[in-house]
Amino acid sequence: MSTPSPDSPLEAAIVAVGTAAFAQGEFVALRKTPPAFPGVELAGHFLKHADEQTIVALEAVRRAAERFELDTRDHERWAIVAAPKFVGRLAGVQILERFAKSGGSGVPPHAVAQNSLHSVSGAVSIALGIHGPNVGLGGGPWAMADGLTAALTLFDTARIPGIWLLLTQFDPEPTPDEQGRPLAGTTCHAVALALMPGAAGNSRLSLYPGSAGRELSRDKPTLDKPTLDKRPEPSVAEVAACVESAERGLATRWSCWLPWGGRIELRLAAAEQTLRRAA
Amino acid sequence: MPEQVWITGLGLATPLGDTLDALAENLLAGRSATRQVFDRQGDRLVPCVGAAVERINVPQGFEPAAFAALPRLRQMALACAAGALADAGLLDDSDDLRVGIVLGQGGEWYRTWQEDAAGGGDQIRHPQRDRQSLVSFVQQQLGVSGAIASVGAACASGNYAIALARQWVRHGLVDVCLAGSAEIACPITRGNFQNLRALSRRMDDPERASRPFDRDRDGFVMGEGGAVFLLESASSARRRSARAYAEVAGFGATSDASHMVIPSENPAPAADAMRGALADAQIDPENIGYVNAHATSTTVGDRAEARALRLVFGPHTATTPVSSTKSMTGHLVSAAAAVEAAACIVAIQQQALPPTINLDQPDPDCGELCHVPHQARAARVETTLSNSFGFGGSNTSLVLRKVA
Repeated sequence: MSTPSPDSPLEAAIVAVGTAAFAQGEFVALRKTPPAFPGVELAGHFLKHADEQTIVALEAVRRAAERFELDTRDHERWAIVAAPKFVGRLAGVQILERFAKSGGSGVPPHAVAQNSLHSVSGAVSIALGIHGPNVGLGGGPWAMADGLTAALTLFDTARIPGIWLLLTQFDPEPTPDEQGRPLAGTTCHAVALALMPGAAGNSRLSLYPGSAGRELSRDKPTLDKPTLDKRPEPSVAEVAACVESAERGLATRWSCWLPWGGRIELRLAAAEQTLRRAA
Repeated sequence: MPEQVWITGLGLATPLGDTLDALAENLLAGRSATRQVFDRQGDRLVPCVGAAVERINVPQGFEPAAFAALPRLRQMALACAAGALADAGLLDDSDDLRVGIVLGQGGEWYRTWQEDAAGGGDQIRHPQRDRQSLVSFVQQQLGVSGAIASVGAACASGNYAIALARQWVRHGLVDVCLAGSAEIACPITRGNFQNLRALSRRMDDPERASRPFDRDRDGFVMGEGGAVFLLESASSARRRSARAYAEVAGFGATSDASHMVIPSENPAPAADAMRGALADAQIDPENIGYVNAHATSTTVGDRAEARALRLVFGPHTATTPVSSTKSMTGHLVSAAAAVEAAACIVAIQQQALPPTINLDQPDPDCGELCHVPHQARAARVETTLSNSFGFGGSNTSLVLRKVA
């Protein structure tokens, strides 16, 4: 195992990518038709109570697998790393309301299973029939950074041949009304990246550890007034735009600084043939 | 061969104590922390069975009144993380180190929103107020810098946190890494599990409500707490003559790919997680001195784990000691795996097996296991295996080994 440095970052080859984005109004129909993956029969109600980020992530995986002609039955030992952001905010408004009215008996039994940090990765592992690890990363501000970092550092954790990295979030983050409906239009985005160890091909994800980021925490905050990171937080939509540029035939590169001083870089070759060769 | 990674510090907040000595004393005495507790539901206090942390210590250097004003989840996580850093001798000596933090979290934002709502707030409807994650908060309060992440695999979150931290240390991404998880008792979560009929209803006998593997179990008892460990490479620990509690020797993880809530009837995925951890640690099953089972005290879960254990341990099933410390601590949900890693450290340090209390009549379907009923017993424990399984079909196993 190598120690990463600015010259030799931690890297993974990207062997497939897919994006999906849905407006809030589209989820009613999407819940009724779970996507089909080879070798898996999902119940028709599988997505009935699923978080919106689960649904959009599944569609991004389906599109990536279809576009790059991957048979997900070959991924039985792969890992699912999902980095959702604020899972369950919309459903949570109703759950809090029901709890306020009826106490514990009013809490729906699917709340924890469907609206927690593990929910996206767990549901996707079931939908794809994947028996490798499944884990959620982030969940709040800078969730995507957590997911990208973990995906690049998990590889030899459990002898994992590949990872489906799923980045999801609403953009803008919805402000719910009292019934849990967004007060303004919002879109739920997902990017699915199929990663394999190494850096074969021209499409890759890289992590440059950088400095310790000591400068970020030099001024010790007080308990009641934490110092918030000033760096602009990247969005899933930015990454999706990068993927869509590559799909249009433009080689693209996207990078972002992480709050702790590291840097992530995503490089996508223009031609999908290049991606296929890596696979 | 990758360098060994050792645990050289720990911070605890558990229903059975906030130091390793207290936890060891209570676990090995077979004391139950489960009792009648009360959930605030609006104006009502609703009695239920639970395992609570009665006092969260104010970490060294923090102002007590300001600490007390923090949300409880932040108190729990900060106390454990600061405790681990202090225990490792690095609280005031980490300026030149990249200190990573990985915190296992099941429902950080739900806990946050609910705690806020209980106080009359409506933070959930104001996303601009959700500005800082728990792990970022802990990092800033400790004044350390390095890679951070929140990781969620429901009740298996803590094992993932420890595994990811070990990878970060090995990759050189950080010099040392804090890893663990924290959980608070949340009435909404308790209501959720109650409505799933997963909780014990033994209100008249709360100390005997958590009874993993017992024929008369009727569900688990929800608890709260936290455990955070400091991980560093063996060479780093030797260089600074740090005390080593254990080596993080192996980790394995799989998914059932079966159901979001119910454990799979097929024991193979859970068995594969155990086998993966054993292979990672390069150890054969017969050399495991103690298994800390996930066993929560639900019929379906306990039986599924017993089947998986039989697959892995084969002829050694009858001689490999297995217990569930949840019989004493309750089920600490997101924090369960981390606190149970601490229980494994107790077994290694004390050369003793924590018991499964309340195991009066083992379920025949779990009967082949080498239970440790009621009372602790002395044993040679060099290596432990700790299972933690979670919603979403997550199966994880962690191997800790005594440092020579």
